[in-house]
Amino acid sequence: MSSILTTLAPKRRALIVPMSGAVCPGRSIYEAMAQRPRQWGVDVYGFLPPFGVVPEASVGAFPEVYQISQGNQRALCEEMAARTRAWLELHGPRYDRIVVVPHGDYIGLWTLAVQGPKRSRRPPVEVASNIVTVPPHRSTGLRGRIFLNKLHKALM
Amino acid sequence: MKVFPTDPISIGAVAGAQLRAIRVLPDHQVVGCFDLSPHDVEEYLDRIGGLRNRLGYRYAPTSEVWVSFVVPEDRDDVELLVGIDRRFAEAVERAHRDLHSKASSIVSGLTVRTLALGYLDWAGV
Repeated sequence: MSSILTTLAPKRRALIVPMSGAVCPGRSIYEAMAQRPRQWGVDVYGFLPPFGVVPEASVGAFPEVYQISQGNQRALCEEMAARTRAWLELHGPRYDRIVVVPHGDYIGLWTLAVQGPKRSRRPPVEVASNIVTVPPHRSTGLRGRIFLNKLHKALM
Repeated sequence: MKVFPTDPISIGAVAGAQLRAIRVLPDHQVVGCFDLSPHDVEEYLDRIGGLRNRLGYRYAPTSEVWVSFVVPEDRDDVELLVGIDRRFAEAVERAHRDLHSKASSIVSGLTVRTLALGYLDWAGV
């Protein structure tokens, strides 16, 4: 039943931005990426350990949980990759396009979650073809008009 | 794969948590009930006692997993509840299998610890 509803519901767009102390809601570098998409009705998510894909409103409401020292790195990576893959399976079909900014320490886990391990027979997640990556500009990074124009164009 | 970790989990300097029971709620939440045992009794009573005005609150930085503390009047036998949406739990289990992960439970000890400490920070105790 829920899959029928997901199919019938109007498709939306999502923007996923790996967050850190320097790139988070309220910071100018982040707001330059997220402000216009928000106005267009795009759902904006952070990509954060250990929870993976998290609505940006939650990051703003519960900042303390993302500042807790995480401990075991292997467990954290396994957890983050599995949760991200689960999120893509459950919530991915709501979106006809998911735009990701490949940036930050944990972005390799995003690729793992989407593609599965190398030499694995498991297929990529079903929504993999709806995922668009917009890499930071090689000299200006996340700043500058060239990157921002590409990002916003991908969401239009 | 287990839903919740069965090994003892350290909640910072406050207490240790040990899974006692699992319940399934009518709203499709699978809930792990953890017993807490204090590391330092005085600090524990101070901090946990401060949670009394937050009773019943589900601390949920992600929509899929939440924690809540149940603090009785006498502050003995405090329970930590950890809940996860059943559909999300099933998806995480499939993902762990797909990714050949060595994780032994769907909700890790790391998540329980992070959420419990996050709750205490958020509650300001």
